[in-house]
Amino acid sequence: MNFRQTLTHGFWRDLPPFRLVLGLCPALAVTAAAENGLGMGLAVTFVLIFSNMFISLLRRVIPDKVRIASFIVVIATLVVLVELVMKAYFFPLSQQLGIYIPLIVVNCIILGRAEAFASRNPVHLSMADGLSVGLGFTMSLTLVGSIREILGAGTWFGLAVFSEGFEAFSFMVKAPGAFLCLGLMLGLMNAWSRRRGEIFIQT
Amino acid sequence: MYTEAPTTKFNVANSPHWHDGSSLSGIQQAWLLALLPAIIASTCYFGFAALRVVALAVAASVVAEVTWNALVANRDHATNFSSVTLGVLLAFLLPVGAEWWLVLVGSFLTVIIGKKLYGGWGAYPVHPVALGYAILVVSWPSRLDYTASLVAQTWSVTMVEPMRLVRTLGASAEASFGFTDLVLGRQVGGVGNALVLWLLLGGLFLLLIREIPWQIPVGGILGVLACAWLLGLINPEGTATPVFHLLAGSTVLMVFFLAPEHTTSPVNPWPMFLYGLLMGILLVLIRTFSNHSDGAIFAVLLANLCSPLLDRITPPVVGREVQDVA
Repeated sequence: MNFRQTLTHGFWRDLPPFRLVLGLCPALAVTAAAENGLGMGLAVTFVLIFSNMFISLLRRVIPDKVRIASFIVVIATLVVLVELVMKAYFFPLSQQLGIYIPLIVVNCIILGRAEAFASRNPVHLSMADGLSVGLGFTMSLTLVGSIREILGAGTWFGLAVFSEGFEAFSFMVKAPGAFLCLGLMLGLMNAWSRRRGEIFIQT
Repeated sequence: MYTEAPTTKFNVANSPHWHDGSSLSGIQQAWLLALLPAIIASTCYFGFAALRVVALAVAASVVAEVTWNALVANRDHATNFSSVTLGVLLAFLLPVGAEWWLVLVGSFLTVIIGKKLYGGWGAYPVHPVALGYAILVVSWPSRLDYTASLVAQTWSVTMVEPMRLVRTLGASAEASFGFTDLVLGRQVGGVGNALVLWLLLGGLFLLLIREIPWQIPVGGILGVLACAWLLGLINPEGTATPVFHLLAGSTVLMVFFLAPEHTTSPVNPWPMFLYGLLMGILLVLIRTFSNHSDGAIFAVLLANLCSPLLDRITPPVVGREVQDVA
């Protein structure tokens, strides 16, 4: 992949969580509101860019046998950084996201990009990959969060969307609604890709 | 000398080679016929308000099905009547005064999410009506309150309110209503879920024409009776009698119409019986220990999910296993 492809592949071709089918846990857990999805996505993007950078820099130093443990050390450091910054400056959001911020450490997107991309590519490409995949993830989470919040609570980023008479479809902001929404979006995306003749199943 | 062989034409086809003339639409029409007494009784009891819900649900279900079929090619055609039956069954569970949008959303969820997305009749893992109604009840519990809905209506018969009284007062509440009321369906309920006798008529008709296997209703009834009896032994004050559980709420609708749905019930005799038994036990447990006053829908969902597992209990194979010679 050249630099431009690397910079854009996260927006459609490898769009998480739909195409990579990684990072489903936060995609299901924190998307009850659009704001939470956006916050989670940005936190993951930050971690992803810098974990890719450090792992790419250290890719010749890290021994093959203990690479996963080494990746985790890098990622955990960055996640603690994000967590402390969030608690200091975005306290309500960090309360909302709760345990899912520390859980970014074991987010399979980050580990997956480290293993599949950063550990075998130069620094500039790895950072571009982190940016692309991270922003794709942010987009997806914000979209899922928007759909669930608009239908399930009648608001978008906390602002009322419908008039007074609207009775919220509160199934959507509950856990099963997340599965339904994610599944329907994945199905629509696959149907669209199939119609355009794209090869979208990873081999 | 060469003579041409007489031309004989062999038709090559897969089994079955003989067909008894039954059809998909015929199956669903039998079910609709079985549901007819309850529809009529419901109209007599609640007036046209009840018929309105049924008509709207059926129309919305069929429109949803036809629209989907126009968009996505599939073999589950609207002409097999399955969406009509789903519409009627969904309407039976809704309150008499259900808002139009509630009925429309419920029909959409039942037909599109519950049925078509899984591939249509024959492919869904849980009963579409149970799925659709469960989503409604999670989203708008206050709109599905039978009592509140009936208070706002004028109806021609006096109703007893068994489910709620037994929950609040315990077994002593049973003295306040007669079993005749329960049997005749003069109890607070949805459009058609509590019309015991009229549903029973339809259920017996389905049993008689062998449309549904006897194992499932029998298992269900035994499960309800056994579980209620056991709970009664433990806590006689707080538990209703077994017969009460059989006659109140949606028990009859569940064991005769929701449980024996062809797609979601097991196919072997013993699994069918166990499936019914499980559903009956779950019903009484949910009624007694959960926040839902009538747990039929959740019992159906849970038992449906167990159905493929139960179907792994197969009849013993006749004969001897051939030892693999190394």
